[in-house]
Amino acid sequence: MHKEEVYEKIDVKNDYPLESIYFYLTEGCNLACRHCWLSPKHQDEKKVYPTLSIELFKSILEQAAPLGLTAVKITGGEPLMHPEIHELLRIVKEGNIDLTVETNGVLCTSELAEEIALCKGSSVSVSLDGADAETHEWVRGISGCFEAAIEGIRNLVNAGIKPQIILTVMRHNKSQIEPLVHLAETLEAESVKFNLVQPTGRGEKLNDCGETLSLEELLELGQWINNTLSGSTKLRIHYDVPPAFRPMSSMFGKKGDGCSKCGILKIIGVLANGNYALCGIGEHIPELVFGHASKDRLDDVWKKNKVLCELRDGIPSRLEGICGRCHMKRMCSASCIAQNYYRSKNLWEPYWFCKDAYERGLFPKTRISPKIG
Amino acid sequence: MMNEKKIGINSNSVIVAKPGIVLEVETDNWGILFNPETDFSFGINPVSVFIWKQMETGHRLQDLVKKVVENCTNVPDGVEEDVTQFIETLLEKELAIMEST
Repeated sequence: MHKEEVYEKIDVKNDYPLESIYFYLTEGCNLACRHCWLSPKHQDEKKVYPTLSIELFKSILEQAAPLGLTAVKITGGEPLMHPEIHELLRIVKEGNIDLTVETNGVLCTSELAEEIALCKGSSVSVSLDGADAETHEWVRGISGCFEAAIEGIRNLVNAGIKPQIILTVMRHNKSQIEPLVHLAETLEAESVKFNLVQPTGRGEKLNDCGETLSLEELLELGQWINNTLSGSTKLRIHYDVPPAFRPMSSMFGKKGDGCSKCGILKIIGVLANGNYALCGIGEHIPELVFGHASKDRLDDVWKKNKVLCELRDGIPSRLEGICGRCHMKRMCSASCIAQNYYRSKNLWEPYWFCKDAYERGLFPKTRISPKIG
Repeated sequence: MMNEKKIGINSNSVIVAKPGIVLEVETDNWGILFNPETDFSFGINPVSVFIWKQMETGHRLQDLVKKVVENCTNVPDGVEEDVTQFIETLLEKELAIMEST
């Protein structure tokens, strides 16, 4: 190997290691959630949709190792619906790679839970959009999925994994927030996270029909969750608004839970059809698909793709609007570049929540750069 | 005893908040230091906010440690090291300057 090549590899690896791959394993999903931003096709006994092949999965991991890979996230669709999920988990385990699983829990048998638990650093988040079957199934669209998800959570806990429970907040389940925390305590979950509905995919329709909470309602809810609900439980509670809206003590204090951020500069997505993409948004936005795993080398995609290179050069300096003026921009990176692009076709567009808050005078003034603001 | 060799701050150096740096203090007494020249923001906890305010008039490292001990509660044994590290970080991030007397 020439000296120059060695230096090039070291440089890329140090500056932008590909730390994690998000595998969107299945095009279909066994549920039909009203808010899903990916809006996968509904899969049942009658109709089956493509899934990522084991060969590509294995090949991608092999190519990613020298680029710095330390973790994978398997998501969907519904990752546990993958017909060869046992083999996939075996490959992850043998690769000694940290594993994160995002699942609706419905198919999480005790056997699968044990296999997940055997993987290095395994963490699992399970969606529960209500503390009772009626609410959860109204959101998720399939009868019987509540009890199945509860059973899946129990299987995880019995296997030694305390999952994070995630509820996406909307008008229909707002009253279930406190009961859900109690349920999560009973189930011995590790934490509870409250997500915002993203106004993309089916979430956009939910937004249009008034089922999402207003900005004022979301901010008020955040105050109550952080100031009241969090103190009433031993569980870690996370309300997933951008860091500009969170007290610094809640992120960086002794009991702080850090600042959740999209690792956009250190991840790549792999779709069920084998396409490389920015993330799952590639299902909707062709220009955020970067190639196909069967014909493009990951090394080339990671180092040379125009969008990825542009993001490396432009975050955070090219962020526009309030995100470009926010004190938190280095850690937040406009919250979700994929969502921002989906809505505007502009990589540097501000995050909808922050933009809306700023335009209505609700953005925290101490988080705006005085140079411009 | 301060580790003067490591951080390059001698006992006569006066630590001063760099002119032009803006401090925003929030309702929970945490703060954000902002350098308009470099567009760089840096979050600090309430004790650090207190130290920063002392630095606006310039103090030696030992004096800053003394002020923390006198004015803050639950001061840990390793306070000298903590203050030293904080000052070192501010110097490194060009949010403070060191003046020799």
